[in-house]
Amino acid sequence: MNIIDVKNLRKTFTTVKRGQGLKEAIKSFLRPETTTKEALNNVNFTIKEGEIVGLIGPNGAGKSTCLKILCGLLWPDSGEATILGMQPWKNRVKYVQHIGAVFGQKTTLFWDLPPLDSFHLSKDLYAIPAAEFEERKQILIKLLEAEDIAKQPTRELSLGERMRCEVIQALLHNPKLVFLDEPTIGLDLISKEKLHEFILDLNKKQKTTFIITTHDMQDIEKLCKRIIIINHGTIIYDGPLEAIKKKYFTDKHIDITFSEQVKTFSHKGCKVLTKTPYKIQLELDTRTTPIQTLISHLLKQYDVADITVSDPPIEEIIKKIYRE
Amino acid sequence: MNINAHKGMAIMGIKVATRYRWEVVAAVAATPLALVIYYYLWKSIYAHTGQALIRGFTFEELVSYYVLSMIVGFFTWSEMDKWIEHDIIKGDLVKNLIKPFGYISSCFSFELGLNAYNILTQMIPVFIIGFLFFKLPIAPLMVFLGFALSLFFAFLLYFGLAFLLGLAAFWMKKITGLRRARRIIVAFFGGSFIPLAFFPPWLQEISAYLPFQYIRSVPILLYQQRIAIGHSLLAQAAWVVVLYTLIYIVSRKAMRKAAVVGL
Repeated sequence: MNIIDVKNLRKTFTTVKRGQGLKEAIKSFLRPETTTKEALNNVNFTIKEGEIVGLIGPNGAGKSTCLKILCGLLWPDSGEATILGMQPWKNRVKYVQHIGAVFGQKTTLFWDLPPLDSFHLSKDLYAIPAAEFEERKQILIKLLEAEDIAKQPTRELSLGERMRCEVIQALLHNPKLVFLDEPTIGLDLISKEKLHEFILDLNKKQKTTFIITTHDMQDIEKLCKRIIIINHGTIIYDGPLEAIKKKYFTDKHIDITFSEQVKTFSHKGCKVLTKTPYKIQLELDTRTTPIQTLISHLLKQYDVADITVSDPPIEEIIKKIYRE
Repeated sequence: MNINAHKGMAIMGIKVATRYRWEVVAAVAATPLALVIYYYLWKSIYAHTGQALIRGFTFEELVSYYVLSMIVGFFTWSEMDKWIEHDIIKGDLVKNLIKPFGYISSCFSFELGLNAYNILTQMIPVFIIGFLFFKLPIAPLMVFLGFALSLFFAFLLYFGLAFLLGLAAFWMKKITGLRRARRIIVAFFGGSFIPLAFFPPWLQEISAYLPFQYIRSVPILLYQQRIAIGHSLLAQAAWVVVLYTLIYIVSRKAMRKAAVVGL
């Protein structure tokens, strides 16, 4: 069953363009120059219950706009969306009762009060039975290790601490559908892993559907079986993560630090991206040379201090997809 | 209508009000100071003119007018426009809209919570100070009940006014100038600076057609039994209907604007 059904969604924004400097400021005040920007251009997709879908794309691609429309906060210029059998923006108050949302850039907690107070407000707003609320609150707080931070005023929390509380807040009312907009910004590795585990567990046990936007490839790889790549407001890929990995993640970035000076370096399947006497960054095509081969070659031939293997940033993959 | 949701928001209002406790101490301490200044100002005016009655007020009555003005001011007070302006500039409106509660309802209950706290920490202490030091008369029970109801209407009006101004921020973004005007106009045409009876006739005529006197002057005069209870409450209720109809129309446009433009 489709939990989300989006058809021909379009959204343009008009913003005031303004240059730098005092002269420009005065000019903009007297006669503002506006530009229109197409945030979403004919977006179509469906999502089934129990899926975890990653929505990725470079900055300004339209991810957040899309998410805000799906949350019922923003009205599209045209197009339709049926989510949980409702049109999100038509009846916001009724609709948002059934969803949870975390906006990494914004806070949904009361700034001057401890998150715990905001949690208790949720109990009243979503009419959660007292016993059920207490139980869920305890479970969530324990899982995200927020016993102490939930008692401090939100304004005193670090970004990562706040994010953990935001996630608790979004899940207290046990929503069927959860939107996470960059939920892992500011989280340390351990908290990030905990959050991953928690999302997977919730998805497995309660069939909660998640839609996640992120710039962190770890989030995507851990959580999402399916990804939607969006760029300039259009979907350029919608399908399994595995397929795209096989096709585009064949390249790896390898950073090598040597203990000796290395003048030149070349190897089959390698492209040197940057080079200093002690450091080299390579792009390796794993189809021609497996990582193991390169690393054993490196260790045999050179005095290597450090090797880091990483995926190329998402922007590069998008560039590649876009070029085709 | 979800009573629990209203209760929850009101409790949040009380909690937010308690966050800075020194602010409360300062507010309670500053009030008698203002009263003392008014006391000596009018004392010298009455001494100078040598009259026992100015515009229908004896000196004692005028002093209790100012005590009541403070009391009314504590409850009929709203900075909703400031909260809305802040949320719009910071892009924090999402925090309200993602929750299953109408925007004005949540703002209203929140403000009611804030002001309920003011009743305890400021209004009641000033009532007591008034009785003890400024010869504030104790009104009969019926008048007192009428005063309480009138106070609630006055709160509805002030909140409505502040909310309506706040909605202007959906178009203008920054509304600091409007907020300043709101404070001065309500204080002046509401009768907080001086009783409206001290205005020249033409100014009294103008203020009769404005809603501001129903926010401050009417509850005060009602307590002093200078005006009829039933008539005053009816007039207040009529203005509440007018104001909230206007809010209904404008808020639909504003929410639509936010949803279309994206704040």
